[in-house]
Amino acid sequence: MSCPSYELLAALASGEARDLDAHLAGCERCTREIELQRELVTRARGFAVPALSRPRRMALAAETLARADADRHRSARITLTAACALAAGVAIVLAWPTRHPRPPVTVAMPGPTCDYEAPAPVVTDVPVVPAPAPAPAPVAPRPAALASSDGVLERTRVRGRDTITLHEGSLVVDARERAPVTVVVGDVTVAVADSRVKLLAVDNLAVTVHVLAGAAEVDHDKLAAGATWTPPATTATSLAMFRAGWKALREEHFADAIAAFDLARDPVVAEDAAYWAAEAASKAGRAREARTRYEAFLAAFPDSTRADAARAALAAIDP
Amino acid sequence: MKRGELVQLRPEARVEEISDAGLVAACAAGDRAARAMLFERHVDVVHRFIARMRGADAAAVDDMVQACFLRAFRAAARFRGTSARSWLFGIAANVVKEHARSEIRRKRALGAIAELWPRTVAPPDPSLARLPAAIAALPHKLRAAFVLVDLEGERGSDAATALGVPEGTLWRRVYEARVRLREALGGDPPAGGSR
Repeated sequence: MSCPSYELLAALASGEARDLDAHLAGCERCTREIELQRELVTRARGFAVPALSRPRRMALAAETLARADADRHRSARITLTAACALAAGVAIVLAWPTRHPRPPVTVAMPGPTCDYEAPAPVVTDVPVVPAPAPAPAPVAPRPAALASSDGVLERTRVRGRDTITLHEGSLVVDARERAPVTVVVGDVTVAVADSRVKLLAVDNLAVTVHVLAGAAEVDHDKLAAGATWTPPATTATSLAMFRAGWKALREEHFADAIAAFDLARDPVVAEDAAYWAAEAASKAGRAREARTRYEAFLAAFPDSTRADAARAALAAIDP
Repeated sequence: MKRGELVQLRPEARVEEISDAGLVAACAAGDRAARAMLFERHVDVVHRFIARMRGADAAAVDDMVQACFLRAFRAAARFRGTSARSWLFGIAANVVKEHARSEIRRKRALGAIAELWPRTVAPPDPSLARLPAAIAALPHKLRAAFVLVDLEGERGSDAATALGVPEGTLWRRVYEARVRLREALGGDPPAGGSR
Protein backbone atom coordinates (compact mmCIF):
# COMPACT_ATOMS: atom_id res chain seq x y z
CA MET A 1 0.00 0.00 0.00
CA SER A 2 1.51 3.33 -1.05
CA CYS A 3 2.06 6.14 1.46
CA PRO A 4 -0.24 9.16 1.31
CA SER A 5 0.90 12.35 -0.38
CA TYR A 6 2.75 15.15 1.42
CA GLU A 7 -0.37 17.27 1.28
CA LEU A 8 -2.43 14.58 2.95
CA LEU A 9 0.21 14.01 5.61
CA ALA A 10 0.32 17.72 6.38
CA ALA A 11 -3.45 17.86 6.68
CA LEU A 12 -3.43 14.73 8.80
CA ALA A 13 -0.87 16.25 11.16
CA SER A 14 -3.20 19.22 11.56
CA GLY A 15 -6.14 16.93 12.27
CA GLU A 16 -7.94 17.70 9.02
CA ALA A 17 -7.69 14.34 7.27
CA ARG A 18 -9.28 11.05 8.24
CA ASP A 19 -9.50 7.48 7.09
CA LEU A 20 -5.76 6.85 7.16
CA ASP A 21 -5.72 4.87 10.38
CA ALA A 22 -5.29 1.59 8.58
CA HIS A 23 -2.23 2.81 6.72
CA LEU A 24 -0.68 4.54 9.70
CA ALA A 25 -1.06 1.39 11.79
CA GLY A 26 1.27 -0.42 9.42
CA CYS A 27 3.58 2.41 8.24
CA GLU A 28 6.11 3.47 10.81
CA ARG A 29 7.65 6.08 8.50
CA CYS A 30 4.41 8.02 7.98
CA THR A 31 3.56 7.75 11.66
CA ARG A 32 6.96 9.16 12.56
CA GLU A 33 6.59 11.99 10.04
CA ILE A 34 3.25 13.02 11.47
CA GLU A 35 4.62 12.93 15.00
CA LEU A 36 7.53 15.19 13.96
CA GLN A 37 5.21 17.64 12.28
CA ARG A 38 2.89 17.78 15.26
CA GLU A 39 5.83 18.25 17.61
CA LEU A 40 7.09 21.18 15.54
CA VAL A 41 3.67 22.79 15.46
CA THR A 42 3.20 22.32 19.21
CA ARG A 43 6.55 23.86 19.96
CA ALA A 44 6.04 26.71 17.50
CA ARG A 45 2.70 27.57 19.04
CA GLY A 46 4.45 27.98 22.34
CA PHE A 47 5.85 31.18 21.02
CA ALA A 48 3.99 34.39 21.58
CA VAL A 49 4.64 37.52 19.63
CA PRO A 50 4.56 40.82 21.49
CA ALA A 51 0.95 41.83 21.86
CA LEU A 52 -0.25 45.21 20.73
CA SER A 53 -0.11 47.47 23.75
CA ARG A 54 -3.30 49.35 24.62
CA PRO A 55 -1.90 52.86 23.99
CA ARG A 56 -0.38 51.77 20.70
CA ARG A 57 -3.60 50.02 19.78
CA MET A 58 -5.62 53.16 20.42
CA ALA A 59 -3.17 55.33 18.52
CA LEU A 60 -3.17 52.89 15.64
CA ALA A 61 -6.96 52.83 15.58
CA ALA A 62 -7.22 56.61 15.58
CA GLU A 63 -4.61 56.98 12.88
CA THR A 64 -6.10 54.26 10.69
CA LEU A 65 -9.65 55.56 10.95
CA ALA A 66 -8.51 59.11 10.26
CA ARG A 67 -6.68 57.96 7.17
CA ALA A 68 -9.73 55.98 6.10
CA ASP A 69 -11.83 59.15 6.42
CA ALA A 70 -9.28 61.07 4.40
CA ASP A 71 -9.38 58.32 1.79
CA ARG A 72 -13.13 58.67 1.48
CA HIS A 73 -12.95 62.43 1.15
CA ARG A 74 -10.22 62.18 -1.43
CA SER A 75 -12.24 59.61 -3.36
CA ALA A 76 -15.24 61.91 -3.26
CA ARG A 77 -13.15 64.80 -4.53
CA ILE A 78 -11.67 62.70 -7.31
CA THR A 79 -15.13 61.52 -8.33
CA LEU A 80 -16.45 65.08 -8.35
CA THR A 81 -13.47 66.31 -10.37
CA ALA A 82 -13.86 63.49 -12.86
CA ALA A 83 -17.57 64.23 -13.21
CA CYS A 84 -16.86 67.92 -13.79
CA ALA A 85 -14.18 67.10 -16.34
CA LEU A 86 -16.54 64.72 -18.12
CA ALA A 87 -19.31 67.31 -18.13
CA ALA A 88 -16.92 69.94 -19.45
CA GLY A 89 -15.75 67.57 -22.17
CA VAL A 90 -19.30 66.81 -23.23
CA ALA A 91 -20.12 70.52 -23.22
CA ILE A 92 -17.11 71.31 -25.40
CA VAL A 93 -18.01 68.56 -27.84
CA LEU A 94 -21.61 69.74 -28.06
CA ALA A 95 -20.63 73.40 -28.43
CA TRP A 96 -17.92 72.71 -31.00
CA PRO A 97 -18.87 74.24 -34.34
CA THR A 98 -19.66 71.78 -37.10
CA ARG A 99 -16.67 71.33 -39.33
CA HIS A 100 -16.86 71.70 -43.07
CA PRO A 101 -16.53 68.45 -44.86
CA ARG A 102 -13.10 67.97 -46.29
CA PRO A 103 -12.81 68.26 -50.05
CA PRO A 104 -12.46 64.92 -51.71
CA VAL A 105 -8.92 63.91 -52.34
CA THR A 106 -8.17 63.62 -56.04
CA VAL A 107 -5.47 61.24 -57.07
CA ALA A 108 -4.20 61.23 -60.60
CA MET A 109 -4.26 57.64 -61.72
CA PRO A 110 -2.65 56.56 -64.98
CA GLY A 111 -5.27 54.93 -67.09
CA PRO A 112 -5.63 53.41 -70.50
CA THR A 113 -5.51 55.88 -73.34
CA CYS A 114 -8.38 56.16 -75.77
CA ASP A 115 -9.78 58.55 -78.34
CA TYR A 116 -12.88 59.37 -76.36
CA GLU A 117 -13.25 63.06 -75.64
CA ALA A 118 -15.17 63.97 -72.57
CA PRO A 119 -17.98 66.50 -73.09
CA ALA A 120 -17.44 69.99 -71.78
CA PRO A 121 -18.96 70.58 -68.41
CA VAL A 122 -22.35 72.20 -68.35
CA VAL A 123 -22.12 75.77 -67.07
CA THR A 124 -25.18 77.20 -65.40
CA ASP A 125 -25.94 80.66 -64.14
CA VAL A 126 -26.63 79.50 -60.65
CA PRO A 127 -24.36 81.54 -58.41
CA VAL A 128 -22.22 79.62 -56.00
CA VAL A 129 -23.12 80.66 -52.51
CA PRO A 130 -20.41 79.96 -49.99
CA ALA A 131 -21.50 78.07 -46.96
CA PRO A 132 -22.21 80.40 -44.09
CA ALA A 133 -19.53 80.57 -41.46
CA PRO A 134 -20.46 78.69 -38.34
CA ALA A 135 -22.00 80.94 -35.77
CA PRO A 136 -19.74 81.48 -32.82
CA ALA A 137 -20.85 79.83 -29.65
CA PRO A 138 -22.85 82.31 -27.57
CA VAL A 139 -20.86 83.68 -24.67
CA ALA A 140 -22.87 84.45 -21.56
CA PRO A 141 -22.31 88.07 -20.52
CA ARG A 142 -20.87 88.77 -17.13
CA PRO A 143 -23.33 89.63 -14.40
CA ALA A 144 -23.82 93.27 -13.53
CA ALA A 145 -21.37 94.81 -11.08
CA LEU A 146 -22.72 96.08 -7.77
CA ALA A 147 -21.28 98.65 -5.39
CA SER A 148 -22.78 99.42 -2.05
CA SER A 149 -21.34 100.50 1.26
CA ASP A 150 -24.45 100.18 3.37
CA GLY A 151 -27.01 98.37 1.28
CA VAL A 152 -29.13 95.57 2.61
CA LEU A 153 -29.93 93.46 -0.42
CA GLU A 154 -30.43 89.99 -1.87
CA ARG A 155 -29.39 88.74 -5.28
CA THR A 156 -31.33 85.93 -6.93
CA ARG A 157 -32.39 84.76 -10.37
CA VAL A 158 -36.04 85.19 -11.21
CA ARG A 159 -37.17 83.54 -14.45
CA GLY A 160 -33.55 83.46 -15.57
CA ARG A 161 -32.93 87.16 -14.96
CA ASP A 162 -30.49 88.57 -12.45
CA THR A 163 -32.70 90.18 -9.79
CA ILE A 164 -31.68 92.26 -6.80
CA THR A 165 -34.01 93.11 -3.96
CA LEU A 166 -32.84 96.24 -2.18
CA HIS A 167 -34.23 96.74 1.32
CA GLU A 168 -32.14 99.54 2.72
CA GLY A 169 -29.29 101.84 1.86
CA SER A 170 -27.73 102.90 -1.40
CA LEU A 171 -26.68 100.76 -4.32
CA VAL A 172 -24.88 101.43 -7.57
CA VAL A 173 -25.57 98.95 -10.37
CA ASP A 174 -23.32 98.91 -13.41
CA ALA A 175 -24.75 96.78 -16.22
CA ARG A 176 -22.78 98.34 -19.03
CA GLU A 177 -21.53 95.56 -21.34
CA ARG A 178 -22.89 93.14 -18.78
CA ALA A 179 -26.03 91.13 -18.28
CA PRO A 180 -29.18 93.19 -17.59
CA VAL A 181 -30.45 93.23 -14.05
CA THR A 182 -33.73 94.03 -12.33
CA VAL A 183 -33.70 95.89 -9.03
CA VAL A 184 -36.78 95.64 -6.86
CA VAL A 185 -37.34 98.12 -4.04
CA GLY A 186 -40.68 97.57 -2.33
CA ASP A 187 -43.24 97.82 -5.12
CA VAL A 188 -40.93 99.69 -7.48
CA THR A 189 -39.12 97.80 -10.21
CA VAL A 190 -36.07 99.22 -11.93
CA ALA A 191 -34.78 97.59 -15.10
CA VAL A 192 -31.10 98.28 -15.66
CA ALA A 193 -29.71 97.30 -19.05
CA ASP A 194 -26.46 98.58 -20.50
CA SER A 195 -26.52 101.44 -18.02
CA ARG A 196 -25.30 102.58 -14.61
CA VAL A 197 -27.86 103.47 -11.96
CA LYS A 198 -27.69 104.59 -8.35
CA LEU A 199 -30.57 103.72 -6.05
CA LEU A 200 -31.43 104.72 -2.53
CA ALA A 201 -33.87 102.80 -0.37
CA VAL A 202 -35.18 103.32 3.13
CA ASP A 203 -37.15 100.64 4.87
CA ASN A 204 -38.12 98.89 1.62
CA LEU A 205 -39.17 102.15 -0.02
CA ALA A 206 -37.45 103.50 -3.10
CA VAL A 207 -36.22 107.00 -2.32
CA THR A 208 -34.34 107.93 -5.46
CA VAL A 209 -33.25 106.31 -8.68
CA HIS A 210 -30.54 108.26 -10.42
CA VAL A 211 -29.42 107.23 -13.88
CA LEU A 212 -25.69 107.86 -14.11
CA ALA A 213 -25.12 106.46 -17.60
CA GLY A 214 -27.23 104.87 -20.30
CA ALA A 215 -30.92 104.50 -19.74
CA ALA A 216 -33.10 102.68 -17.23
CA GLU A 217 -36.75 101.94 -16.72
CA VAL A 218 -38.56 102.61 -13.46
CA ASP A 219 -41.94 100.92 -13.45
CA HIS A 220 -41.78 100.97 -17.27
CA ASP A 221 -41.04 104.72 -17.41
CA LYS A 222 -37.82 105.28 -19.27
CA LEU A 223 -35.19 107.52 -17.72
CA ALA A 224 -32.24 108.91 -19.65
CA ALA A 225 -28.78 109.52 -18.28
CA GLY A 226 -28.78 112.29 -15.66
CA ALA A 227 -32.45 111.89 -14.77
CA THR A 228 -33.56 111.20 -11.21
CA TRP A 229 -36.74 109.41 -10.32
CA THR A 230 -38.49 110.12 -7.06
CA PRO A 231 -41.56 108.35 -5.76
CA PRO A 232 -45.02 109.96 -5.61
CA ALA A 233 -45.44 112.10 -2.49
CA THR A 234 -47.35 110.05 0.00
CA THR A 235 -47.21 109.99 3.76
CA ALA A 236 -45.30 106.76 3.72
CA THR A 237 -42.72 107.96 1.21
CA SER A 238 -42.38 111.32 2.97
CA LEU A 239 -41.67 109.58 6.27
CA ALA A 240 -39.18 107.36 4.53
CA MET A 241 -37.49 110.37 2.97
CA PHE A 242 -37.34 112.12 6.31
CA ARG A 243 -35.64 109.10 7.92
CA ALA A 244 -33.27 108.85 4.98
CA GLY A 245 -32.44 112.54 5.36
CA TRP A 246 -31.69 112.13 9.02
CA LYS A 247 -29.57 109.06 8.40
CA ALA A 248 -27.54 110.91 5.77
CA LEU A 249 -27.22 113.94 8.01
CA ARG A 250 -25.81 111.83 10.88
CA GLU A 251 -23.35 110.32 8.48
CA GLU A 252 -22.48 113.81 7.25
CA HIS A 253 -23.64 113.03 3.72
CA PHE A 254 -25.13 116.49 3.43
CA ALA A 255 -26.05 116.44 -0.23
CA ASP A 256 -27.93 113.20 0.19
CA ALA A 257 -29.59 114.58 3.29
CA ILE A 258 -30.79 117.69 1.48
CA ALA A 259 -32.12 115.62 -1.42
CA ALA A 260 -34.00 113.33 0.93
CA PHE A 261 -35.47 116.16 3.05
CA ASP A 262 -36.65 117.85 -0.11
CA LEU A 263 -38.69 114.79 -0.92
CA ALA A 264 -40.42 114.72 2.48
CA ARG A 265 -43.29 116.88 1.37
CA ASP A 266 -46.12 115.46 3.41
CA PRO A 267 -47.44 118.02 5.95
CA VAL A 268 -46.65 115.61 8.78
CA VAL A 269 -42.90 116.07 8.26
CA ALA A 270 -42.58 118.93 5.80
CA GLU A 271 -41.83 121.56 8.51
CA ASP A 272 -39.02 119.59 10.14
CA ALA A 273 -37.70 118.47 6.76
CA ALA A 274 -37.41 122.05 5.53
CA TYR A 275 -35.56 123.14 8.66
CA TRP A 276 -33.12 120.21 8.61
CA ALA A 277 -32.48 120.69 4.91
CA ALA A 278 -31.35 124.22 5.68
CA GLU A 279 -29.19 122.91 8.54
CA ALA A 280 -27.63 120.35 6.18
CA ALA A 281 -26.81 123.07 3.66
CA SER A 282 -25.25 125.18 6.41
CA LYS A 283 -23.13 122.26 7.68
CA ALA A 284 -22.08 121.53 4.10
CA GLY A 285 -20.68 125.07 3.86
CA ARG A 286 -23.18 126.07 1.21
CA ALA A 287 -23.94 129.47 2.81
CA ARG A 288 -25.99 130.93 0.01
CA GLU A 289 -28.17 127.86 -0.23
CA ALA A 290 -28.47 127.71 3.56
CA ARG A 291 -29.65 131.32 3.68
CA THR A 292 -32.23 130.67 0.96
CA ARG A 293 -33.52 127.59 2.77
CA TYR A 294 -33.76 129.31 6.17
CA GLU A 295 -35.65 132.20 4.60
CA ALA A 296 -37.98 129.81 2.79
CA PHE A 297 -38.54 127.94 6.06
CA LEU A 298 -39.42 131.10 7.95
CA ALA A 299 -41.74 132.16 5.14
CA ALA A 300 -43.54 128.83 5.05
CA PHE A 301 -43.68 128.19 8.79
CA PRO A 302 -43.46 131.54 10.59
CA ASP A 303 -45.01 130.15 13.75
CA SER A 304 -42.77 127.12 13.93
CA THR A 305 -41.08 126.29 17.24
CA ARG A 306 -37.85 126.28 15.23
CA ALA A 307 -38.37 129.81 13.88
CA ASP A 308 -36.05 131.38 16.49
CA ALA A 309 -33.35 128.84 15.75
CA ALA A 310 -33.69 129.55 12.06
CA ARG A 311 -33.38 133.29 12.60
CA ALA A 312 -30.26 132.79 14.74
CA ALA A 313 -28.75 130.62 12.06
CA LEU A 314 -29.53 133.25 9.43
CA ALA A 315 -27.85 135.88 11.54
CA ALA A 316 -24.78 133.71 11.92
CA ILE A 317 -24.38 133.26 8.20
CA ASP A 318 -22.00 135.82 6.76
CA PRO A 319 -23.76 138.15 4.35
CA MET B 1 -31.35 58.45 8.21
CA LYS B 2 -28.21 59.47 6.35
CA ARG B 3 -26.69 57.30 3.67
CA GLY B 4 -23.88 55.21 4.97
CA GLU B 5 -25.23 55.05 8.48
CA LEU B 6 -25.03 51.74 10.28
CA VAL B 7 -28.47 50.14 10.24
CA GLN B 8 -29.51 47.86 13.02
CA LEU B 9 -32.15 45.54 11.65
CA ARG B 10 -33.05 44.49 15.16
CA PRO B 11 -33.18 47.59 17.35
CA GLU B 12 -32.61 45.55 20.48
CA ALA B 13 -29.47 43.96 19.01
CA ARG B 14 -26.18 45.11 20.46
CA VAL B 15 -23.46 46.21 18.10
CA GLU B 16 -21.30 43.34 19.32
CA GLU B 17 -23.85 40.95 17.85
CA ILE B 18 -23.49 42.25 14.32
CA SER B 19 -21.83 39.68 12.12
CA ASP B 20 -18.55 40.23 10.35
CA ALA B 21 -20.37 40.25 7.03
CA GLY B 22 -22.72 42.93 8.31
CA LEU B 23 -19.82 45.00 9.57
CA VAL B 24 -17.97 44.78 6.28
CA ALA B 25 -21.15 45.74 4.42
CA ALA B 26 -21.55 48.77 6.67
CA CYS B 27 -17.89 49.63 6.07
CA ALA B 28 -18.58 49.54 2.34
CA ALA B 29 -21.35 52.08 2.90
CA GLY B 30 -18.90 54.36 4.67
CA ASP B 31 -20.00 53.79 8.26
CA ARG B 32 -17.23 55.03 10.51
CA ALA B 33 -18.54 53.14 13.54
CA ALA B 34 -18.48 49.91 11.55
CA ARG B 35 -14.90 50.55 10.50
CA ALA B 36 -13.94 51.14 14.10
CA MET B 37 -15.73 47.98 15.17
CA LEU B 38 -14.12 45.87 12.46
CA PHE B 39 -10.74 47.24 13.40
CA GLU B 40 -11.32 46.61 17.09
CA ARG B 41 -12.56 43.11 16.48
CA HIS B 42 -9.68 41.91 14.31
CA VAL B 43 -6.69 44.11 14.95
CA ASP B 44 -5.13 41.70 17.40
CA VAL B 45 -5.12 38.70 15.11
CA VAL B 46 -4.04 40.77 12.14
CA HIS B 47 -1.25 42.32 14.17
CA ARG B 48 -0.14 38.92 15.43
CA PHE B 49 -0.23 37.43 11.95
CA ILE B 50 1.83 40.22 10.47
CA ALA B 51 4.26 40.15 13.37
CA ARG B 52 4.73 36.44 12.85
CA MET B 53 5.09 36.88 9.13
CA ARG B 54 7.63 39.64 9.34
CA GLY B 55 8.68 39.87 12.94
CA ALA B 56 10.30 43.18 12.11
CA ASP B 57 10.45 46.30 14.17
CA ALA B 58 7.19 47.28 15.77
CA ALA B 59 6.80 50.39 13.65
CA ALA B 60 6.97 48.41 10.43
CA VAL B 61 4.42 45.92 11.75
CA ASP B 62 2.12 48.76 12.75
CA ASP B 63 2.46 50.28 9.30
CA MET B 64 1.48 47.01 7.71
CA VAL B 65 -1.47 46.56 10.07
CA GLN B 66 -2.69 50.00 9.13
CA ALA B 67 -2.17 49.37 5.44
CA CYS B 68 -4.09 46.13 5.77
CA PHE B 69 -7.14 47.77 7.30
CA LEU B 70 -7.09 50.72 4.94
CA ARG B 71 -7.02 48.32 2.02
CA ALA B 72 -9.83 46.33 3.61
CA PHE B 73 -11.98 49.43 4.04
CA ARG B 74 -11.44 50.34 0.41
CA ALA B 75 -12.22 46.83 -0.77
CA ALA B 76 -15.16 46.25 1.55
CA ALA B 77 -17.67 46.55 -1.29
CA ARG B 78 -16.05 43.56 -2.97
CA PHE B 79 -16.22 41.29 0.09
CA ARG B 80 -18.13 38.17 -0.84
CA GLY B 81 -17.16 35.72 1.88
CA THR B 82 -18.48 35.01 5.32
CA SER B 83 -15.28 35.17 7.35
CA ALA B 84 -13.86 38.64 7.67
CA ARG B 85 -10.95 37.14 9.58
CA SER B 86 -9.82 35.00 6.63
CA TRP B 87 -10.43 37.90 4.27
CA LEU B 88 -8.24 40.13 6.41
CA PHE B 89 -5.56 37.45 6.55
CA GLY B 90 -5.50 37.37 2.77
CA ILE B 91 -5.14 41.12 2.58
CA ALA B 92 -2.48 41.09 5.27
CA ALA B 93 -0.52 38.42 3.41
CA ASN B 94 -0.50 40.60 0.31
CA VAL B 95 0.53 43.63 2.31
CA VAL B 96 3.42 41.70 3.83
CA LYS B 97 4.42 40.38 0.44
CA GLU B 98 4.50 43.85 -1.08
CA HIS B 99 6.35 45.12 1.92
CA ALA B 100 8.96 42.43 1.51
CA ARG B 101 9.70 43.52 -2.01
CA SER B 102 11.81 46.23 -0.61
CA GLU B 103 15.06 44.39 -0.13
CA ILE B 104 16.49 46.98 2.19
CA ARG B 105 13.61 46.72 4.58
CA ARG B 106 13.72 42.96 4.35
CA LYS B 107 17.33 42.91 5.45
CA ARG B 108 16.54 45.30 8.24
CA ALA B 109 13.70 43.04 9.33
CA LEU B 110 15.86 39.96 9.32
CA GLY B 111 18.41 41.76 11.43
CA ALA B 112 15.86 42.98 13.93
CA ILE B 113 13.83 39.85 14.35
CA ALA B 114 16.38 37.95 16.40
CA GLU B 115 16.46 40.75 18.92
CA LEU B 116 12.74 41.40 19.08
CA TRP B 117 11.34 38.22 20.49
CA PRO B 118 13.92 37.18 23.08
CA ARG B 119 13.83 40.64 24.53
CA THR B 120 10.05 40.79 24.87
CA VAL B 121 8.93 37.22 25.33
CA ALA B 122 11.27 34.61 26.74
CA PRO B 123 10.97 31.45 24.64
CA PRO B 124 9.94 28.47 26.74
CA ASP B 125 12.16 26.17 24.72
CA PRO B 126 15.72 27.47 24.17
CA SER B 127 16.02 25.34 21.08
CA LEU B 128 13.27 27.41 19.48
CA ALA B 129 15.20 30.66 19.78
CA ARG B 130 16.03 30.28 16.12
CA LEU B 131 12.39 29.88 15.09
CA PRO B 132 11.62 33.55 14.38
CA ALA B 133 14.59 33.94 12.09
CA ALA B 134 13.81 30.60 10.48
CA ILE B 135 10.23 31.66 9.80
CA ALA B 136 11.37 34.98 8.44
CA ALA B 137 13.78 33.19 6.11
CA LEU B 138 11.01 31.10 4.55
CA PRO B 139 9.73 32.10 1.13
CA HIS B 140 6.62 34.21 1.44
CA LYS B 141 4.24 31.54 0.15
CA LEU B 142 5.45 28.91 2.60
CA ARG B 143 5.60 31.37 5.46
CA ALA B 144 2.05 32.58 4.93
CA ALA B 145 0.72 29.03 4.80
CA PHE B 146 2.64 27.98 7.91
CA VAL B 147 1.69 31.02 9.97
CA LEU B 148 -1.96 30.84 8.99
CA VAL B 149 -2.44 27.13 9.56
CA ASP B 150 0.04 26.23 12.27
CA LEU B 151 0.36 29.42 14.29
CA GLU B 152 -3.00 31.12 13.78
CA GLY B 153 -4.92 27.85 13.71
CA GLU B 154 -6.89 28.63 10.57
CA ARG B 155 -8.64 25.71 8.93
CA GLY B 156 -7.07 24.57 5.69
CA SER B 157 -10.05 25.61 3.58
CA ASP B 158 -10.15 29.09 5.11
CA ALA B 159 -6.42 29.58 4.74
CA ALA B 160 -6.56 28.43 1.14
CA THR B 161 -9.35 30.92 0.45
CA ALA B 162 -7.43 33.69 2.16
CA LEU B 163 -4.33 33.03 0.10
CA GLY B 164 -6.28 32.39 -3.07
CA VAL B 165 -4.87 28.91 -3.72
CA PRO B 166 -6.40 25.42 -3.92
CA GLU B 167 -6.47 23.53 -0.66
CA GLY B 168 -4.04 20.92 -1.94
CA THR B 169 -1.53 23.64 -2.78
CA LEU B 170 -1.90 25.05 0.68
CA TRP B 171 -1.16 21.73 2.39
CA ARG B 172 1.82 21.20 0.15
CA ARG B 173 3.19 24.56 1.23
CA VAL B 174 2.48 23.79 4.87
CA TYR B 175 4.35 20.53 4.57
CA GLU B 176 7.36 22.18 2.90
CA ALA B 177 7.43 24.93 5.51
CA ARG B 178 7.41 22.40 8.34
CA VAL B 179 10.24 20.43 6.77
CA ARG B 180 12.40 23.52 6.26
CA LEU B 181 11.76 24.73 9.78
CA ARG B 182 12.64 21.39 11.23
CA GLU B 183 15.90 21.45 9.34
CA ALA B 184 16.60 25.00 10.45
CA LEU B 185 16.01 24.03 14.06
CA GLY B 186 18.31 21.06 13.77
CA GLY B 187 15.60 18.45 13.93
CA ASP B 188 15.20 15.17 12.16
CA PRO B 189 15.11 15.21 8.39
CA PRO B 190 11.78 14.36 6.82
CA ALA B 191 10.99 10.70 6.74
CA GLY B 192 10.85 8.97 3.41
CA GLY B 193 11.61 10.18 -0.08
CA SER B 194 9.45 11.48 -2.81
CA ARG B 195 5.77 10.40 -2.97
